[in-house]
Amino acid sequence: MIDFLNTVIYGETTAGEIILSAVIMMLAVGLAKSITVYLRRAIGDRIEKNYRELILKLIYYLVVFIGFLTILPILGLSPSGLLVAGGITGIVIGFASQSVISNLISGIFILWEKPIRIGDQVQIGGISGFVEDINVMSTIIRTYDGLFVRIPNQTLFTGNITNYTGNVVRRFEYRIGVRYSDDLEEAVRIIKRVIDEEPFALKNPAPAVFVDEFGDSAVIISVRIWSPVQVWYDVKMRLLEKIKVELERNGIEIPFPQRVVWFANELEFRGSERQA
Amino acid sequence: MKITADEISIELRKHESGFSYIRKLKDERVEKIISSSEGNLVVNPIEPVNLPSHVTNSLLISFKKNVVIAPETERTVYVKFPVEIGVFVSGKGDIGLIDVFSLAGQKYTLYGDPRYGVVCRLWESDVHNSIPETDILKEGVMELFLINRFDEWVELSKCVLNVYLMKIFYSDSMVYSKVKMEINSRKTAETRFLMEPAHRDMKKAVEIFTPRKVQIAAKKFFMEWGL
Repeated sequence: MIDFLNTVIYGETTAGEIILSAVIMMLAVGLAKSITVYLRRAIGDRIEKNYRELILKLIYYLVVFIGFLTILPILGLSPSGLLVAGGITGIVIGFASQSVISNLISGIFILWEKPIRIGDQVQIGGISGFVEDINVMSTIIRTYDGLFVRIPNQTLFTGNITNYTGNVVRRFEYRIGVRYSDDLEEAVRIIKRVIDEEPFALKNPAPAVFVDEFGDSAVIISVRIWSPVQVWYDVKMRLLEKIKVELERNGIEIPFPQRVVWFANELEFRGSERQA
Repeated sequence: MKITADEISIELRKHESGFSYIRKLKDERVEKIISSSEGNLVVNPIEPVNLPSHVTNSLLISFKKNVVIAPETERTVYVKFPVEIGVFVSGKGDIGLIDVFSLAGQKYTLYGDPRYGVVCRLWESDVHNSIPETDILKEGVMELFLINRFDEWVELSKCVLNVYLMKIFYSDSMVYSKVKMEINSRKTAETRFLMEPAHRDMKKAVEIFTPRKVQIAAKKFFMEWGL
C-alpha cells in the first residue's frame, strides 16, 4: 500500500499526493456546502432571496477556489505557470466551448442587469412559470404545472423576457356580456360596487368599467382593474365570481349566444299542426 | 377566559397539554391550539398593513379636505388611521403573533407609478385641529407634526408612511401614534414616526416589525410622487 502511495505518477507527483489533493478538494466542497447551508439558515428572510442566493453562490465558489489553489503546489503546479499555460490553452478551449463561455457571460450580465429575480413569474421563449434559480450558466424555471425547465443563459439574454411580477402592480381585464334588455347603468353600478368592496382592487390607478361593444348576443361591458402583483391572480379569480353572483342576484343575466332569424315568406306548417 | 367587545370575542379554553384559542368576528372564526401550559396572551393594536394579507409596509392617509400650509411654518393636525388588532403569545424570552383581525375596512392604492411606485394601505380621514373622537377598536388618532421647510405655500392631500418602526400607544380611550412630516418642496416630503405618547399613562403596543426582526429598516419614508 505504502509502495503504491509513493509511486510517481508524473514529474515528482506521487499517487499519495494526488489522493491527498482529491481529499482536500472534497473537504473544500464539503466545507463550502456547510458554510452556505449555515449562512442560509442564519440569514433566513432578512435579505431578499435573490441577493441571498447570489451571496451564497459567491461564498461557495470562493471556498472551492481556495481549496483549488491549495492543491496546486501539492500537485507540483505553480499558479503562475498555470496562468501561462491557461493563456495558450484558453484560446483553444475558448474556440471549442463558445456556447459555454457565451452562457457564462450572459449569466453574469443577467445577474448584473437583473431583468428577473428568484420567485418572479416570467415568460421566456414560450415557457411560463416561476424563476427557481439563476445560475451562472443557466436559469431554472418551474412551470405552472410543476415541470423543471433549464434555460441556457444565452437564450434568456438574447430572447424576449416577459416578467409578470416586474412591476409593483398589474392590470387585468374582464369582458362581461349582459342582455340587451338589461339596465346597463345598473349593471355598471353593481360591478363598480363589487370592485370597491375588494381590498386589493386598487383605488388608484382607478378601475375602469364601461360599455365597450354591442356584440351579436350581448352588450359587452369592459372591466379593467389594477392589483398588487403578489395577489393579482387571486383577485382576478375571486372578483369574477363575485361579479357574476351579484349581477344575477339583481336580475341581470349573462346571455347565451342567440340569433334572430327572419323568413322572407310566411312559414308553412305541415302535418298535424296545420290541421289543428 | 373569554373577552367580548362589539362583534369580537376571544376565548381561551384550557386543555391537558395547553390551550385552545378561539376568536370570532362576524362570520369569521379562527381556532388555534397553543401547545404550552405557561405564558401570556397579549392583545394590542399593531401596524395596519396585515389584512387581508401582507403585501406592503406602507400606509397612505388620504385627507378628505386638502391642507394648505404657509412657507417655513410648523403646525400640528390630527388624522385617523385604521386599527388592526394583534394577538401575541409570550413566554421564555420570545413573543409570537398568532392572530390579526380588524373592524376597519381594507382598501389598497398605489402611490407613484406602476414601475417604481409603492402599494399602500389606504385610509381616508378628515383633518382635525384637536384630538378627534374615535371608535377605539376601529380607528386610532395620528398626530401629524407638519414642518414646511419650503419657502412657498404647499397644499397637502395625503401622507404616506413606512410602518416599519411605527410607534403605537394605547389606553382605554385611544389608540395613538405621532408622525413628523417635513415638507421639502411642493412635491416632496419626508415622514417618520416619533416615539412619543399622547400622555404618560399610555401603554406602548407590541409591534410586528421590530428592529430585531427587520435588520434593514428604513426609518423615514420619502414622498417623491407628490403631496
